[in-house]
Amino acid sequence: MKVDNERELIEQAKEGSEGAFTAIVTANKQRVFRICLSLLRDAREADEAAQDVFVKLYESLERFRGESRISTWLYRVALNECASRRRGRAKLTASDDAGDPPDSKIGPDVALEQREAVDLLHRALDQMDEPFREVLVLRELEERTYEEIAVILEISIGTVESRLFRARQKLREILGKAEVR
Amino acid sequence: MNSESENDTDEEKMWSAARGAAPPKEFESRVWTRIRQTRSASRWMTAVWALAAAAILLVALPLFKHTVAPAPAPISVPEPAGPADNESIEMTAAAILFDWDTREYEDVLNVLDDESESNFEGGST
Repeated sequence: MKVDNERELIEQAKEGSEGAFTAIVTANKQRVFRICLSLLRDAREADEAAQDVFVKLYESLERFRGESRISTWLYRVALNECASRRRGRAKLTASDDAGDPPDSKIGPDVALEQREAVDLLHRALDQMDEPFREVLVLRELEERTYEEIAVILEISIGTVESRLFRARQKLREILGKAEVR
Repeated sequence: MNSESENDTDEEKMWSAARGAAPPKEFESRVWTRIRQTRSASRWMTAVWALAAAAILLVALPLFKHTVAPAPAPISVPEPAGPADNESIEMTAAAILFDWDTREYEDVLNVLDDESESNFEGGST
């Protein structure tokens, strides 16, 4: 979505246009869902989390000043939403070990081989610390630039580079172990 | 070197597959349903808070009245002594005159005494 078009849609949505807000959702739903799925490894929870992100956008639309791209804001909210859900999930599993393991299905349209690859990747991401997981997902999955990642995560570009380097090392380490097994 | 590039390719394939993930159908309508639910819940919460605040006020106000020391009874200021109407003015005046009369007798006696003394004194001078 072009910046001007995006601003226009935001203004229309602020004035109460449901169509404009729906257009914003349509343009951004895949990236929000994708990032939620990578971080939560559960399609149903990722769907709910993505919905919550857009509800939050709707609620804070009046306060949205348009200084940054809407995608930047959505990424930030999605990362926070997923981090919060993961913390909640960790508390639940700590208090109740009998909880079901997360489901990593990504939909019936994806071929089995691809599904396995995605599942392996998601499992590897799940084993990483949050800062490394976030920076890796933004760079490799969302293909964001270092500058964009720095803005989204509110860190310096130098930190993005060093975190990404260590995150890639960690991912290889985990995937290597997974393949040996 | 080769194994590193193979790893890169494998990773790239994984990321590429992960990029294909899309939300289930009718995502937008579910977002709208959730927005409406949130708005409705928020309206309910506002109404509940308003009712709770009103109930607290209703209960707390009488309790507050009892807790605070009762205001002191109004001090009864006595009517200023003295005449209030024409009749009492006359009565008061009569009493004063009576007093004057009484004093007059005494005064007369005193005056008489004084005069006799002064006469004596005067007589002596």
